[in-house]
Amino acid sequence: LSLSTKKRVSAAIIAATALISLVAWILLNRAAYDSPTALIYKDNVLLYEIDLSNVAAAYKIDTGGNIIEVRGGEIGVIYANCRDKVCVRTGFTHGVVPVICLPNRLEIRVVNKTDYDVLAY
Amino acid sequence: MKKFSLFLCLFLLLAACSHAENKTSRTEFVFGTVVTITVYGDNKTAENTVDAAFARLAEIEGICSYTMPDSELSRLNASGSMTVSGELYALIEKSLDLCEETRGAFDITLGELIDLWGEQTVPSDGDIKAVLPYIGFENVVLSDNNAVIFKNGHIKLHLGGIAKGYAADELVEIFGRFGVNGAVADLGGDILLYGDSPRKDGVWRVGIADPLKESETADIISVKSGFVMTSGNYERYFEQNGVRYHHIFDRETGYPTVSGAASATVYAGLDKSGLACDAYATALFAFGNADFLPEGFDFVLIDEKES
Repeated sequence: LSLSTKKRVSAAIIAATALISLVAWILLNRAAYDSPTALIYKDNVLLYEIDLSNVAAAYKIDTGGNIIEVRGGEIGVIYANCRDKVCVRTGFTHGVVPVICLPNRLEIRVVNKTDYDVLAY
Repeated sequence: MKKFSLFLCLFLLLAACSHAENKTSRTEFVFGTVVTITVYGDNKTAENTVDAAFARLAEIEGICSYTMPDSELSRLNASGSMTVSGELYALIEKSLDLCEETRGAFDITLGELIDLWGEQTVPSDGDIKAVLPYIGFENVVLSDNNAVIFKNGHIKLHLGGIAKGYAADELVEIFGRFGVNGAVADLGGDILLYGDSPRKDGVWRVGIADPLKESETADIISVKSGFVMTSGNYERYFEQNGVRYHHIFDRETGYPTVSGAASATVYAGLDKSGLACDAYATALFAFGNADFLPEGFDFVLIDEKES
């Protein structure tokens, strides 16, 4: 290989490595969720991840024992087959405190870019 | 120059990768709520720590659950007089001291009253008044050989006001035993912060939920290592005829406390106890002021009208 070709190959390798570094840095440093996102867990298994800022029309999700309604910017439980119905009375959330149905082991958290590590409530 | 450039790029790549947080986090349903434990650091140690932490929480729940029929506390409540384990005895003893210190604003003997309100409707005034003469921490006697004696048949101990605080104390011991550098336990909104946070300054930042604006935080506090315990009227409640009835009761009236507080958070360092923080949060909510709070405990009190 000529000297100029070697230089071009070296420059390409350096550029590619720099690009990979930059992409990795951006991916690893970006906020986990840039818009409010509802995470629906049942038995600690993540069932749904819904971007609440991108809901065109309200819709319902049946998780077995609970019916969840998703609206633009908020989410709530509208039916629970348990006795106390705490989760239904919690109402719609678009913020920090989770909606929990203990009898059906359902948890809805709305996560967003925050400047704290954990929430006390 | 070429070698230096390559070295620089590889260094950047490694730095970018190493920035990813090395942590283990798990959520389970314990104490009638959702508990999440997050341990930062070496994966194997973190996994073992989280295993041990949840195993200990299950043990504590088996001792002091009010709703599990076979818990040690349930057996004590059913018998009215029983020799209990050293752990339950010590827990009741500490709790009774806190009942006295808070002049009954925090009281572990309100089980029967809580049962009355548990049907999600307002009980009759007669039913409430019938219970009042029999409740109160003065009606529990601790005797030799771990014996717990109730002075009347209406006493039922309910440790819901300190169980999560006590659990936080026990988790401190576990995190220390496993040599954890940083960990967070979120016990249904009651928080234990242990060691260094992954932030550059090592300090944890805790959002305090705003009870009036559900989607916002009322405050963000910085804590090095410690307990952050909250009582409020917005998590567990029911409404009847437009009136909200929360779950913290005044032992004098038998009705939910009326102090004007919407939320009370007490926090302190690990040199204090989570159990005390938990009880003080209940008392702070019930009193609506922090005059009783000993030195070394800080607080955030949010009233019903404005943050």
